[in-house]
Amino acid sequence: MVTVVMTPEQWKHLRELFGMAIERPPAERDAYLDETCADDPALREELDSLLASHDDAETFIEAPVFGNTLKDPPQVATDIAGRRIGSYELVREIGRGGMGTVYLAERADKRYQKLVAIKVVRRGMDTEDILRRFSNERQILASLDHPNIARLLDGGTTDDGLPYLVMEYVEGAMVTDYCDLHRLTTNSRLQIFRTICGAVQHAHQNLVIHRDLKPSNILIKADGVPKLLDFGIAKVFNLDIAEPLTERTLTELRVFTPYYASPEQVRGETLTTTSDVYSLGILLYELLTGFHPYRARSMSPNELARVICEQEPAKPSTTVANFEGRSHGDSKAREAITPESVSNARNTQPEKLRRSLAGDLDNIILMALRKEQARRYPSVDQFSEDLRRHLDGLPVVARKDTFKYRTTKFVRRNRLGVAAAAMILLTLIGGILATTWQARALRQEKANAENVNLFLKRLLTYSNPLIKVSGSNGGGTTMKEVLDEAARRLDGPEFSNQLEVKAELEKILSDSYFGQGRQDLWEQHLRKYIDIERSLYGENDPRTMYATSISAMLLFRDQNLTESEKVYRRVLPLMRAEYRKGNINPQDFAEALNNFGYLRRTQGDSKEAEALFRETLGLSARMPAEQHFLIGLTRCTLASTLADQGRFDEALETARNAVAEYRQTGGTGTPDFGFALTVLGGLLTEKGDFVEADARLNEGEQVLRQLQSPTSLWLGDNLRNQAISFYRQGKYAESQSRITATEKIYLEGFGPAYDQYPTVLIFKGLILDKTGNSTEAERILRDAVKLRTESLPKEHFWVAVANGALGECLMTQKRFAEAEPLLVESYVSLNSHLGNRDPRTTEASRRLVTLYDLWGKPSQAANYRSV
Amino acid sequence: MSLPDVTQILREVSDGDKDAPARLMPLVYHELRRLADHYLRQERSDHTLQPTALVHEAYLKLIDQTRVDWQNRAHFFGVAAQSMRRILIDHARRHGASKRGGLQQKLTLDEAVDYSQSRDVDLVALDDALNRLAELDERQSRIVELRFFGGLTIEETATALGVSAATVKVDWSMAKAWLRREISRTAPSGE
Repeated sequence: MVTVVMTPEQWKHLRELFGMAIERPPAERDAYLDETCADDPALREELDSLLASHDDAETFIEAPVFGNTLKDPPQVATDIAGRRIGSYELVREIGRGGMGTVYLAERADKRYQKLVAIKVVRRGMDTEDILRRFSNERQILASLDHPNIARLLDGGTTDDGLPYLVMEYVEGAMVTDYCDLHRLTTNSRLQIFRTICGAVQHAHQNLVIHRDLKPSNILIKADGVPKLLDFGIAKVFNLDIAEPLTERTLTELRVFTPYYASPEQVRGETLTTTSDVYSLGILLYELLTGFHPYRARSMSPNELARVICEQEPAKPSTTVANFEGRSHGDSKAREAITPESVSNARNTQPEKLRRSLAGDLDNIILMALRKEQARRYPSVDQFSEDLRRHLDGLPVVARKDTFKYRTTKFVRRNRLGVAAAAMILLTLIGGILATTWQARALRQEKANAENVNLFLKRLLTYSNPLIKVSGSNGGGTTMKEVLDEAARRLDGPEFSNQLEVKAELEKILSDSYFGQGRQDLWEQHLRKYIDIERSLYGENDPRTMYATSISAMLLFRDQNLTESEKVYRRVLPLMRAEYRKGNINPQDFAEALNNFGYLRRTQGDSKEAEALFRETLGLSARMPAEQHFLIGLTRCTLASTLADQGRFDEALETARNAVAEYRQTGGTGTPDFGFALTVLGGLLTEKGDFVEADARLNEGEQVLRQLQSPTSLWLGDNLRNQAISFYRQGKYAESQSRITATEKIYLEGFGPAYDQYPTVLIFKGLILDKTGNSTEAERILRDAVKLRTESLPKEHFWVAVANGALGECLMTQKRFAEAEPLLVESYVSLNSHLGNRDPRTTEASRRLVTLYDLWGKPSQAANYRSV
Repeated sequence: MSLPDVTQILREVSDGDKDAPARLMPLVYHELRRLADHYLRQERSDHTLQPTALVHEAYLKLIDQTRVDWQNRAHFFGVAAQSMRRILIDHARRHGASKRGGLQQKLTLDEAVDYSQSRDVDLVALDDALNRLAELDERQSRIVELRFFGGLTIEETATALGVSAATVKVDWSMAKAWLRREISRTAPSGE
């Protein structure tokens, strides 16, 4: 950009010369400038340039942006110029409607300076029919006194015999534009919409249907108050004074804005208040999505009529997520609209907007838009009321009364007392299961029943919004109380004769307690579940087989690995056979396989574990989407198992894939994702990639803290891996705090029998050893070794890991002779299990190098240094 | 906003009250903004304002016509012009203003404004250039505001500013030439 910098004096001079130059004919300018600018070529150049621009600029901005009207006196439409109607003086025409012309007018006496809108029946349109309707309108409007309805102020007949109405003059923006202009959120739009509903409801109570609800008839004033205009074609629908229904003809259709017309309106059938419900439904659809439900911009009237009567509108949440195009209907801007522009006008992002509409709002709007009047909301009031319930987080009428829905709502809201909540919980679960259990007899219903079950498991195991939102005492109190109350009632008489249901509920409760970090109650209810299943179905029923696999898992948990293995080896082949016959669903079989794989991994047979995990993964395609979380978990344990075999790169890749899959499939809102991050972080730590490890572990911690109770086992695992990472980085204080937290969670949750507890002891000991308390460290590490050797086969590499830690501690105390066998044993075991390239093997060989260096045996040190 | 306020303030402006214009501006701006939002964004409602009557609408609402003389009116329109500039530019910037002609396109679509002769003006670019001009010559920029955004004639502009018509005429010519050159320099894509 070239802007000549000049002083005020220079500018003044320039202006002077410019003024003189343009006074002269162009032919003489050069001579004039030659003379005056002889000694200032820069000035001359600037003048030449300006004058050239001047010569081309004749029309440039010559016409005012708004035409020449700003200063002119107001023009009155010529045909009515100076006309007075009643005590009003017409200013000008402001619009033409179906039946007449609307004028802006002001009170002739100017006492109030009040502007009004005067609607006069158009000449040539003053047929009997229209006159009758006009007089109707006057009657109707006079009866409506509502702050959100434009008032009828006056009425009469003009000197030439044309009837007229004087109405409150409303200035404001169309409701759709107003909302976009102010970037109102969905909830704010709903509030405005409910106000509009209030006005329509008022009209309905006065036996008036609007019949032409559309954005241009609903203005929002600058102070935010909505005003409904034009009850111009509304009619009295009181049967006593109703006109014959035959009056509605195609001619009349032109009065309507077909975009907002209901199917019955298009067909010329009787209109009722539910016709307004429909039009309001279209309006709400547009308000929330930016689109007309039928996106029928280029349609001919016939086409549009067909679509209105036949086509099902897309769900609003689908529309905001998928559609791009141009707005139409009554909306102002035929601008390109995209998911981004729509969500931006609602002060949010496309995905958030989609989620806010999905569910309740989809259902509410689609209910208002149903083709059959009888299936819509019976009144505007109920429509509005359902929106209120949605805004308050209460269950809405519109949604099908499905189990999933009601339970979701139940968990989302937080207003119920604990007892009431527990009762509702059980009633809902019980009721649904009772029906689904009966339905289970019917094969085709089986999948549904199982999905309900799965949903419940996940819901109660993983969701704890109650913890977050309610809880006067904070923490997990409320959800716990609800579960306890539910458990108490489950033992009551109402379930004694529905044992099938009770069994399912016991299982669900146990899962819920697990999610709450209450492993004692988890186990207690699991055992009840197993017992009931056995007593109901006997040993050989597929349902009992699943329960048996659960009991094997409990044996495993109690560190009775051998017995657990026996049970699994007996029941799994049976389950496999039943699964192939279709008598066991894939997710139950997968769960058993996965858990047995976990047992085998713990027992040190990582090969069989790997095979079991892979078999589990093979079932994923047959499992319902809701169960895919199990697959993610299996993938993570497979990753750990591969690491156990020293296949470290494969392990890392598997864990990364698991994490990536959660991210890609929108599974990041699940605790399983947190678990996957924990596993990945652990593997990265072993690899020495601490930066990424800490990032993943932190992310995992956030996820788990958000979704689970602060005592959940998975959070413990996460903190444990953080402790290990910090330990390896030499950050002992940070490591210490994490390991203490982990120990608390493990002990409170599972007690010392938990198979990961020795790991806590190992790092607790190592930290003490590094921070100058080797005596205490030794005591703790000896406990760790003891726990490991007692519960695991001697050759399990986890024993070697514990031995290595104890050896290091003894080495610190210069008890080299005691340390040597432990460290050698540890190295040999790790090397044979994991191979010499595994980080844990490398660590063991490093320890030996240090040992022999300190011990003064350099040649032996060299042996291990070369490894 | 009660109506006599604006009229009263206008009279105070005439009486030489130096603070009065500052009080006038927000009132007029507010009213125009409201009206502009209303009509720029609205289509065919029966109660819609006719596009060209925007300022009159405000004028009718705000001013007791029996109590103001032409000087008062000139002040009013001076303030209104300034307000209109702000409103239009805001509007233009808000509507994807970086695209040349965002507003024009919008107005054309709306068929709202008698805009045929100035349709080739990029309002946002004009506004920017006008700001630069104001740094060189405050009065010239003000004259453009009154003429282009306010629709005042040379004589009316002269009255509003208290200078001679000849002065306004030269300033106007120079401002137009300068602005046009400035805009064509900053907008290489050209018309």
